[in-house]
Amino acid sequence: MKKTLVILGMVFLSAWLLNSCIKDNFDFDKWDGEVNWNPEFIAPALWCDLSIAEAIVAYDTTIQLIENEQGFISLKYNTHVSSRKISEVIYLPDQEFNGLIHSMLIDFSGFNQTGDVLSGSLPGLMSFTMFNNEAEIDTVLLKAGVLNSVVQSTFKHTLQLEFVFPTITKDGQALKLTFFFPPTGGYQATSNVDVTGYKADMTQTTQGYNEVPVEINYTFYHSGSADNSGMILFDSDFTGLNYSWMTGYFGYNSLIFESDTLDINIFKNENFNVDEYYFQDPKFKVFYKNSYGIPTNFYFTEMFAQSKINGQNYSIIDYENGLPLDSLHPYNVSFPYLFGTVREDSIILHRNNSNIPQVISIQPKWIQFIAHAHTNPYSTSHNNFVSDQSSLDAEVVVELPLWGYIDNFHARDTAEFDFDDIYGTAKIIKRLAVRLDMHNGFPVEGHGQIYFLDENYMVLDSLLQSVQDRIIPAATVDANGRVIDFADKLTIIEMTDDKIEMIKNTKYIIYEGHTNSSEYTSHKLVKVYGDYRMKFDVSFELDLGVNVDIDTLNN
Amino acid sequence: MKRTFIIAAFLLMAGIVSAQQNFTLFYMNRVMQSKWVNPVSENTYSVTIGGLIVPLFGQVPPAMHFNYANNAWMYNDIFHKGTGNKADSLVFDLDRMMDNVHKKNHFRFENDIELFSLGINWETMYLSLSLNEKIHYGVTLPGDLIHLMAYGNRPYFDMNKPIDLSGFNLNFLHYHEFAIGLSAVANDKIRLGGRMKLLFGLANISTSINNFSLYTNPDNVYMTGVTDMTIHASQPIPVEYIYYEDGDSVDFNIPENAGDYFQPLSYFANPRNFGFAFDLGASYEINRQWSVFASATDIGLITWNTNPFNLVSQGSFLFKGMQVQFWNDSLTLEQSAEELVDSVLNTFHFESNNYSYVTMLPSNIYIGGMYKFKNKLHFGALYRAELYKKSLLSSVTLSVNSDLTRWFSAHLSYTIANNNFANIGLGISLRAAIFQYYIVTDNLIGWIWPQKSQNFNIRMGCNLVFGYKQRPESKIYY
Repeated sequence: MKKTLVILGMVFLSAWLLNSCIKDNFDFDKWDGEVNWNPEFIAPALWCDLSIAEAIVAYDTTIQLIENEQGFISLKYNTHVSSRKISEVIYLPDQEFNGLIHSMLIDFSGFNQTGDVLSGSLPGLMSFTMFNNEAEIDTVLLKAGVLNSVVQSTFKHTLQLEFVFPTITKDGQALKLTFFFPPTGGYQATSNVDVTGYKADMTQTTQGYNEVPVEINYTFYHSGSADNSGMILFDSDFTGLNYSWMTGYFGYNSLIFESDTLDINIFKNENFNVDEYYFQDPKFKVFYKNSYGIPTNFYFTEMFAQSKINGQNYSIIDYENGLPLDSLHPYNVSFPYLFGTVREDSIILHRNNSNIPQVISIQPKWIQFIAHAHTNPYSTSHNNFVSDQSSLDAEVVVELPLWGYIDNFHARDTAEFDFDDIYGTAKIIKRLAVRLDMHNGFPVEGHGQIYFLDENYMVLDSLLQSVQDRIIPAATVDANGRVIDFADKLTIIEMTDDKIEMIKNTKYIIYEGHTNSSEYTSHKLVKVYGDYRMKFDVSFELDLGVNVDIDTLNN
Repeated sequence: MKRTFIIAAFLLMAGIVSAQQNFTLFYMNRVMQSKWVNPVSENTYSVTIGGLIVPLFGQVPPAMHFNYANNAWMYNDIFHKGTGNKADSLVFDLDRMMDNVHKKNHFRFENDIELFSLGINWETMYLSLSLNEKIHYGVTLPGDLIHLMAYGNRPYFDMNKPIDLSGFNLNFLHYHEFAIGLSAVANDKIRLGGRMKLLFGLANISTSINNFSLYTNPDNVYMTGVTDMTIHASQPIPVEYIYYEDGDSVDFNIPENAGDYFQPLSYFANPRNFGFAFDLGASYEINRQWSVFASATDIGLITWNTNPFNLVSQGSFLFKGMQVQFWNDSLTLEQSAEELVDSVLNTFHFESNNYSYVTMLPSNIYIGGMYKFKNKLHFGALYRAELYKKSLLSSVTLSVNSDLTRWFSAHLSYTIANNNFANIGLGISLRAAIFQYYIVTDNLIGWIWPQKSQNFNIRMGCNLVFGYKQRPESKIYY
């Protein structure tokens, strides 16, 4: 028993002694505080799969793209000008028809005792005043209007009076007004007739337009008075006339007289510049939609463009070969031959029939113009017709098919960049490599650079060391200028701790980029199709070197 | 900063412990608690009563078992004294730390409290009852995750190898165990035993990860994440998981009156999470000197029905970085980052369910033998295999066991476990009158040189024993 206790005691004593040196292992006051942590990471950072259309829209959000059936892309800038409202140009003013029928115009012979009846008819003619002096209207279908009449008789006999408009009809019935007068004399009768739906045929007079015949029918019933003298006064007015359609000859009317501005934003971006470019097939187009049944011409009286190159305004109408769409060279817009139809038409000015290529070459930021359109410029045919919905709209378009070349499309900017803000983090970076895996399907090559500048704008260093690093090759194009294969390139840009030290005083950075079309030096024409894509992946390799005294990290 | 670092390091160590070991206890036949691991062990007392609820002596020392283990690091693998001009300093040694990282790195805790135990030795049979409170928790960190944190993902990229995180595991288990055991002599050579356990779960968190990997394609540096995992939980407070598809965000909604849900009495008396398990054992006496035995313990499961909560994630996510949107200049970098997070959430998002689930207990198999060198000196050899979260954890123990006197026995063991070869165990039982004190650990070194240990465990308690029963010479036990 004693022996056992001795053994146990020795065991525990030994353990206690050993334990004293254990304390050192847990005395963190003796920890040197150093942590050597050198992990290496690689991870994707950015990716992009960009179509050419998305790239263009990214550059100019206002742009419209046209892609034809073959996928060929054009840039489009447009604006619209429209005709004035039809009701302001071709309209029916209020009409007035008045007169006096004296007893001398009526043969009262034999009409002398009570019970006698005298009937007869007098011819009349009502002339219409039109919207212009040249207008010769044949037919009108009224959709609104009122015929207000005031008739007074001074005869001492009972009188029944009718005004009949035989060529103003509705459902086969002529427009007719009937009045009754007592034998008292001086009696006044009134009438208000809605003429909606009546069709007026104004061709049934000798003049053959702007007139309708009127029959004035009277019936006297003898009242016993021996006095047959008297008169009838009438005043009939058409007011509030609106038509559904109208035919005839409408004369010379100004449908469009409007100024507008067409912005060409691709040349307005001040951040980008280009040394040289060439569009093989620029176009200036005017598209018409015309529902006036009237021969009409269209032309510009003024057209100016402001150049981005020198800020000057150029008169396009007179520039170089001139624009063949001025008042001397109006375009006769096609017009419809049937009611309710719209005729579409266009004029296209291009390299071979205008000065548009020269205009585009001056980098026009905008084009300002005044457009005119006039009816019946040459003829007096009575084939004109309009409806209450007739209009003439013109869309003015500058279209730039992406077929050509570009030389040094570039941008450069300076930005504040205080490296001190990230130096604390950056100093634990032993190596940072940015991998750019580019698959360029655009027929443009690119190169760029970033410069690090100190507070005095002195260049400390640049990001890309070799020329080769800076270049992104253009996609391969065939003889027709179409891309046939991607250009692939893997670029690894390394930033070592030495370089970080070199640029630690950076206060500004300058970044610049340049692009050129494929084989631009030989002015090879490339074509841009909608299926072009550019893909790239940016990943980074990050080697950290955290070799620090952990106590200093908060300092 | 240093303090923070140290605390973090210890939390990592402390949050990590391994399974019930009891290598030394296995041979401590005089202590009834050896039956918890060896159902056929033959106790030498007619009646044994133990547990925390035994007045006074049940609490001094408390009848408990504590175990902490990891299969990766000992303290000196992370911090150790330097050499040369740093001989007096403590240094952080990342390289050595990483040298000891394994494919799966288990860190486990076990806290068992023995509330009551009763053993009755009746002729050739032994009947036992026990009521235990068990709290087990731990985490398994995949080796790839630790390598990723230490070295980054570049080595995997260079080797064109995915980062395998499927070994990740999180586990918390709290349950009552009520066990009834019986062992008996089958014939002169064979003894059979078993324990039936009724389990009542109280709280649980467990993970089931079939696939969780991250691969970086060497051609384009794209990352592909794949997940097929489920997180289960059952706890007294209901949790609602909300996934906002519009905003691509998630939220966990806990009731405002959460306190009302947690009533200690209803928590501890919760019968809804029922389970069962059993232990089986057999021994065979080859001759008077040699015997062999085998046992399997904790073969069983618990069904979880109280506020069950399941999060399932299955998906594959290709991460190419943030998309450059030249055409959307209103999108800020911050918004892009949010979109990225939303995208990841959307892909990896968990779907929430509330179905009951089942967890298996970590099961053990013991196979061993004993050689009676002298009447009071026996040598033992024991192999133990534990099936834990799809891992087979093996260990081997050699032991020297002696009942030195009728009131004192001692057991010395050497164990290779948890990838560690320095595990010297010691078990002692000491009886004074009817009071039997016992204390046992599988890693004595851990208590002496904690900086060189991956395991700490101790089991202790005081039993009331009655009727010492001298084991017949012919029997394999003493």
